[in-house]
Amino acid sequence: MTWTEKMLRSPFMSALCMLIVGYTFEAAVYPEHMPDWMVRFKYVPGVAFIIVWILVWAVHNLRHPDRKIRFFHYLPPEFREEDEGQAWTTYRACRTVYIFMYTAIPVAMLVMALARDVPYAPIAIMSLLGAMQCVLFWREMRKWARRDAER
Amino acid sequence: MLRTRVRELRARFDWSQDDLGKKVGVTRQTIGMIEKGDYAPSVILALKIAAAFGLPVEEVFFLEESGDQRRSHE
Repeated sequence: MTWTEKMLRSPFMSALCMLIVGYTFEAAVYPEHMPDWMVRFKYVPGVAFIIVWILVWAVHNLRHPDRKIRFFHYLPPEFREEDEGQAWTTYRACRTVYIFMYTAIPVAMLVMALARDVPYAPIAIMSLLGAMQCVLFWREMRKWARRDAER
Repeated sequence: MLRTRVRELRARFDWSQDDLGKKVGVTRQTIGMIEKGDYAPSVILALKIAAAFGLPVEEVFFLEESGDQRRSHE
């Protein structure tokens, strides 16, 4: 896999995207609760992310037309489903994330209820949950890749 | 538990995991997981792997019986 495909399919890109979306919404919707620098640069991370992503995406699709990545797709780009072995590791990673979310969502609801006086809490919690699911997905995929490397 | 002779046969044919993967249409990583016993392949893939070695599937993949199962057969 080329570095462009690795980057575009990395769960860390998705985690970063979740955090940037959270950052932008917090700064745009609750400017009175955010530091000045965050409000001033509220769109910078988002715009920078989109520009970098589009550049890498365009370079990848031009150089590797046989392994094109679609710009809009309902499937997360980190899913690997080229063959049944990869589909199986993706299933294992999804299972781990589901188990995490099974507990994390009620806990997040409790935290939001307890922090109802903090207006920016829901977006921050959702953003963190989104990033954490991507990191967990990456960790599980890496576990199987490491087992393979041990051979 | 599913046991496999894929690694042994691959060594006999002097094929890399990548070579075998290309012959049966899967990635090298999938062959690695099958050899380690992490992943039990589908019937179709097992048949393709056995065909690549020119052997019946039961000579490439077989069940390792536990002690209890073996006693019940006896």
